[in-house]
Amino acid sequence: MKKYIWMLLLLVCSCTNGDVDSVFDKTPEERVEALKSEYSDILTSSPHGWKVYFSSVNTTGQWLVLMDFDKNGDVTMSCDPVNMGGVVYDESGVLTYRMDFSQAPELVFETYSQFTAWNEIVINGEYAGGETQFIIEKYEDDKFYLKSKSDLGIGNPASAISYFVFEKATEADWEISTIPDVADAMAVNSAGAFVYGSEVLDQIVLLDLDLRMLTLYANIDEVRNPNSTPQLVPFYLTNSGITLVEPIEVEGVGEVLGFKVDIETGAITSVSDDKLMISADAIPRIDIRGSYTFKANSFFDGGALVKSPEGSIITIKDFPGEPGYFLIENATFQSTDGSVEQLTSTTLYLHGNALSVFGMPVGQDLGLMGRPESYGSAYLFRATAGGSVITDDFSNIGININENGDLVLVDGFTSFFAAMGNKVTYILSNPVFVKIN
Amino acid sequence: MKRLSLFILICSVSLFMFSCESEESVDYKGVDRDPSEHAIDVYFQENFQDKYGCAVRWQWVDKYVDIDYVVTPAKQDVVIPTGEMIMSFWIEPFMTLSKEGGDFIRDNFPPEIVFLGTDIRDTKGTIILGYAEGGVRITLTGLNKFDLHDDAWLIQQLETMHHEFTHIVNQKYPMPEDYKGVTPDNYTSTSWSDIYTKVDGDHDKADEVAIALGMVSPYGTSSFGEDFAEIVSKYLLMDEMVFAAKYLTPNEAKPELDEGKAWIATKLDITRKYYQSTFGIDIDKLRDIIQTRLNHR
Repeated sequence: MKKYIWMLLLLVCSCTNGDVDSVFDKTPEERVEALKSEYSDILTSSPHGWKVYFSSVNTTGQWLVLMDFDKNGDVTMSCDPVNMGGVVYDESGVLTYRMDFSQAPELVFETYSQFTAWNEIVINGEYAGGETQFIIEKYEDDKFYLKSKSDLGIGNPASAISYFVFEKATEADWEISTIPDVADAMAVNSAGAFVYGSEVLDQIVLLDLDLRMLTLYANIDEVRNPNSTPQLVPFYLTNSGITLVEPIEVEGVGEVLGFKVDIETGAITSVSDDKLMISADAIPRIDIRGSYTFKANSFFDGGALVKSPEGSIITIKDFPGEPGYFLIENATFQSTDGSVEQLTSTTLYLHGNALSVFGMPVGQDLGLMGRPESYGSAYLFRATAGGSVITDDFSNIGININENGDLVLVDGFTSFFAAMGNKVTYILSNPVFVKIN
Repeated sequence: MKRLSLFILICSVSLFMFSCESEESVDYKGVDRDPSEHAIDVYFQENFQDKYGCAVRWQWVDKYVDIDYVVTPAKQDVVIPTGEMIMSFWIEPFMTLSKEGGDFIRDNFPPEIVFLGTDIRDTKGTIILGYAEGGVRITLTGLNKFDLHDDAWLIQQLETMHHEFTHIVNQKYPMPEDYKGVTPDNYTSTSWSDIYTKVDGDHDKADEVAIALGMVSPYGTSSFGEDFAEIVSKYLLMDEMVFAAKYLTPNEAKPELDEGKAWIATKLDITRKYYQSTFGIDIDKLRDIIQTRLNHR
C-alpha cells in the first residue's frame, strides 16, 4: 500500500510543473533566421561594402579584398591580385554568397572566390589552403570578427585557425588600380639600408613584394650570417605604399608603421617621418668580381658528394655600362670531369652589394624571393621564365654570398646541374663556389 | 484494501497520462523560403530539376564534400556552360537515340549532381576526379578548367559522367552476371594504382598492363563494377577505330596483349547485349551520336 501512495505522490509532484514558461519567445529555427537576417542586414547596409586584408597562412603578408554585398545574394569583389612567381590570382567579379548557420553563423562564398583561390597557391612547397566559409565570432564596433572554418576539425591544431576582420570600406578603398604601380616603384629600393636625413643607419630592410613580408636585420653582419634570425613582419600594399601589420622599431628614430613610395623615383619614405628612408644605394657594396670554382661542402646535398663535379668554374664580371651590376658568365661554367656540358646561352645579371648580390635586374626578369627562413640564406633571386635569356630550366636559382665570401647558388627545387645540357647528373642543393684568388 | 490499492493505481496512471500532456505542438517547423530567382538557379530548375528530377548543387555546401578533402567551389562563369555540356554529351545523346533512350535517361538520371571547381586532393595527396555516392549523387570536379576545346579535359569530364552514371544504373539494375565470369581472377582491388608505380608512371605502359588483364584501364582492374563502368565510359567516349585498335585488334608487335584484348571483346559483347536486352539501348548508336557531337564542337 505504501508504495502506491508514494507513487501517487511522486507523480503528483513531478507533473505539477507543466506550465513552464519558455525561455525564448521564438523557436530555435526562428532565432537562427533572425540572427542570419540581422547579420545580412549589416553586411548589405554598408554603403561602400567591406574590406579585409587576407592571407590564409602566417608566412606571408596580406592582400586587400573588397566586398560589396547586396540583398539578392550577390557580392561584388575587387581584389589586390596575388602574384606568386608570376602566376597571378585575381578573382575580382560578382559571385553569390549566403549567410548560413550550422553550429554558429557562417558567411559562405558559394562559388570560387579570391579566398578559395588560395587553395591553389603554393608557398614553401605546400598548398597555402583557401577558405570558403567564415565563421562569424562576433560583430562589434562596426567590424565582423571571423575565423576559418576549414581549419577546424579533428586533428587540426588551434594554431591552424586563421582569424580575419571585415571592416567597413570607404569609397577611396576601392581605388586599388594603382597598387601594381606602387609595387613596381617600390622594387627599386625593396632591399636597402635605413637612411635618416643624411645618416646611414645600421639596420637593413628587405621588402619581399611577392610574399608581402618585411625582413629587418640589425646590421650587415646579421645579414651575412645565415644563422641569424631577423625580424619578419607581414605587410600589405596600399595605393601609396605599404602598411605593416605590426610596427617595427628603427633605432634612434622610433616606431614605424608603414612606408610611402614616390611612383616616379621609387623613393621609399616612412609614413610618420619624411627624413627616414630605405635606400638600396646606401648598402655598402662589395666587389664580387672574379672566378669561382665549385666546391662540394656542407651545403651540398647528400650522396652526390662522392661524384661531385668539383672544379666547375663561373666568372663574375662587370655588367657593361651599368656600374654596380654584375654578370655571371656561364661560358666557363663546366665541370672539369666532363660530366656536365658547357652552357651556351644562359646568363644572369646581378646587382652586387655588401649583403650578397641583390638589387634590381638589368634587362632580365629576375624576381626577389627573400625567404631566408626557408633556405638559411639572406637573399635569393629567382630567375623566371619571363626573361629573354634565362631559360625555364633555370627558373629557381637563388644566389647569395655567405659569411666566408663564397658564392652560393641556392637551388631548393630542382637540380641546378640537372638543367645543364639535359644531363641529370646530380641533385644538388645550395652548391657553393669558392673564389679563385 | 486491495480495492483502495487498485483505485490509487488507476488514479496514478490517469494522472500520468493526462497531467503531463503538453498543450503546444512540438512538431518541427521549418522556415519557408521563396524559390530562388537567381538566373543560374532558374536555368537548372527548368532544365534539370523539372525535366529530369535532378538538383544541381553549383553553390558551395560543405556537407557534400568529405571533410578531409581539399577542393574549391566552381567558378560562377563555368556553371551554366557545364550544364550545357551535360546536356549535350550526356542527356541529349540518350534522348535523340530512341524512345527507350529517353526513358532510360529520365528514369535513371542522378537526382543530384555536385559541381566543384578544382580536383579533389585527399589527405594522402591523391587526386579524385569525381565520384558517385549511394546511387544518387554524382560529384564533378575540376570544372574551373572548363574548355570544350581541351580534348583531355573534356574527355576526362565526360568519362567521369558516364562512368559514375553506369554505377548509378547498376544500383538499380545489377550488371550482367556473365560479365563477372570473364576475368574473375584478374582484379586487384586497392592495388590497382600499383600498376602505375611498376611502370614508373608511364600511362601507356600502365594501360597495356591493364589490357593484358582484360581491362581498359588500370582503375578498371580494381573490381567488377569499376571494370564495367570503365568499359562503358571509354567505349562511348573513344573514337570507334581508336578503341578497336587499342583494345580489340590483335597487334603482332605485342602478342602478349592478345588474350587480354579477346577478354575485352567478350566483355564488350556482353555489355552490348545487356544494354539492348535490359534497356533497349544500342550502345553502338549511342557512341556514334556522342562521337558526332564531339567532332562538331
